[in-house]
Amino acid sequence: MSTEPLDQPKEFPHWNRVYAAVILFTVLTIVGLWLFSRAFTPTALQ
Amino acid sequence: MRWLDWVVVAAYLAYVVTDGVRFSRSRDGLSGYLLANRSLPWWAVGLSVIATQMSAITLVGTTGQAFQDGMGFIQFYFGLPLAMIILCVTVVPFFYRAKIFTAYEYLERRFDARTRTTTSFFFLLSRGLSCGVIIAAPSVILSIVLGWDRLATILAMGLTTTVYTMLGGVRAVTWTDVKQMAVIVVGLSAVSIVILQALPEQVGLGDALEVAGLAGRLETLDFTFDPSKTYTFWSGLIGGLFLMLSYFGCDQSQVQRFLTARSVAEGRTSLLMSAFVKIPMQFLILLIGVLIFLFYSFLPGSQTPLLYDRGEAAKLATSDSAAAFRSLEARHADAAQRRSDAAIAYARMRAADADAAAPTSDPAPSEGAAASGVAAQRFVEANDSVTALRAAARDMVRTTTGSASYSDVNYVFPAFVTTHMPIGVVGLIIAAIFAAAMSSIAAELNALATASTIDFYRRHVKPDGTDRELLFFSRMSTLFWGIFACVAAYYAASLGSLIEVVNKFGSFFYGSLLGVFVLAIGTKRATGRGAFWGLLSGIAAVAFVNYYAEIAGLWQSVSGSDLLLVHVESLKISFLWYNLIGCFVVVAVGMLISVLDRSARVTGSDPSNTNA
Repeated sequence: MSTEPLDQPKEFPHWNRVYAAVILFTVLTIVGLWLFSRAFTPTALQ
Repeated sequence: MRWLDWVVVAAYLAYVVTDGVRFSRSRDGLSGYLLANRSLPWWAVGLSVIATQMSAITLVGTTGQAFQDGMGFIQFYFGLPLAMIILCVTVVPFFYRAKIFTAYEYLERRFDARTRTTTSFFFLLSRGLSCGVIIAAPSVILSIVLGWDRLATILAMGLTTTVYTMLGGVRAVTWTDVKQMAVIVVGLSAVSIVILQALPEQVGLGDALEVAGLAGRLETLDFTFDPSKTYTFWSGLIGGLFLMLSYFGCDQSQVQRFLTARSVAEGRTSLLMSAFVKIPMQFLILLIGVLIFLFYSFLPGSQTPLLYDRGEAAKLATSDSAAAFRSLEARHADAAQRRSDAAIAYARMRAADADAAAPTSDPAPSEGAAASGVAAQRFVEANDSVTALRAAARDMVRTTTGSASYSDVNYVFPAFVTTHMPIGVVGLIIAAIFAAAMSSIAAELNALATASTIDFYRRHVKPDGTDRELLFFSRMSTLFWGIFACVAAYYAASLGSLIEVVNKFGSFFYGSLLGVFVLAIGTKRATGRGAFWGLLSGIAAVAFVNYYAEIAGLWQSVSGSDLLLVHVESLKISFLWYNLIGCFVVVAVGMLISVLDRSARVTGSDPSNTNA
């Protein structure tokens, strides 16, 4: 039997997955920025 | 500004005040006034966190920086997502469950009253002054661009915000932040749409961005490990991480945001919202700066300003240097015209190349590619001339005004808006600049009042004060800090790149504050004395690094020795690293003193220290 008070909201159990998603999103964003810069690196001057 | 723009700005200010005042009818008491009884939803708190961080300086300064130097500033935020995760794991549940009003309150529970009072005092000092800078930045710019009286601009921003913050408390601050974010998003979207519509015929966004690429405006990442460079991948990731940890975890103006959330989970989610949103949002704001650069690159040379600060341009035009300035203007108009011709030619060639693109087995460059290469070369040369002439004009201002750090970067965005936006949209964007400033000011005033009330008045003056008395004092201290910020803003008139001034100022204290919280939360061995002297050592270390060149010069003039001067170059460190230095020194000194304290206690030589 649970000893948790009935009015206590249950703690969300998957925070680690959320943190992993934040890190993955940040890495992808930085890679996206790098690709964006590369896409507009002037080739006409080379 | 035309009549419709005035109507939009006046309607915005009137709405913000009446909407904020609505919350003054609440009968919540002190907890409701300062923490909204911990009842706010995560999305409102999350938007308030973003709005608090994005001041008018961010809006106006970063678009100007992207216009001038490109998008490298984005790297400043690379440490933010990781900082948010660390705070969600450590500080958020810690502070929330401790049921505290201020972050510094916790330090007394862990260490002693002296550490709490000192950290809170430094917070009041740094935030009180930076609140002045947050008001000064847009007021100086708007007064020059719009021709308003600077005092009137300061009062329109500072006093309006003070009124609704004082009456409505944190609820008014948060819900007004949500609406102000909406005004900012709509305003920036309007600017983007107008610029995109103004691109020359047959030139698409991709072709235009290729022109920006030629000028190096789209370089976002710099992987060099040079501590003297302000914005690199590493300074953003490591230095930025420490700055964000300090700002979001130790600065009351941000801690108070997540303390108003309904639960620990909602507090965490509100911070993680920034982790997801901040970098893409800042990218879009910087992109607007690049679009403004493109707008002026395509514009005829005679319509491109040499200086975007109209006030200084007008002064130079009537000064002793008027002839030299007019000569610069003529050469600039010529270079800008050459740049415009080359930019349009290059963009159209790229557009035509893209339309005609077909797979070919011939690896030799086509005639079209050679022609676009020539146009690109002409554009780069003309753009270099424009850049050099603008630098010469800024030098001229520096010479005549004596302000060594003068820059017109912060004037680019408002000058563009007031000159080239349609009627009504100008008012909307000026309202967005007001909104960005006011959302930050409100959070600062609210936090300053909270720290004054809880850490000083309730702690040292009236420990048995009733809820009503404390609430009254909170309101009065909001009013006091509002007036203080307006006075500070009035005297903080002539500053260089304002965004750096605010961040640099914060960096003096932030890293050291973070170090104290690392000692408090991260180790059980640290003592109150260790934390206190660690804090002072951290601040002294950062000040030493920042003023090393001056100290070395002074030492040389006093002793005649070059001993310190030889290290000046190697100690030129970007302000983003100050947080790391401050934090490290506090933890190292704090732990050393704590260990000595404990040894002394074991041997019984220092019975006075009872902090553990």
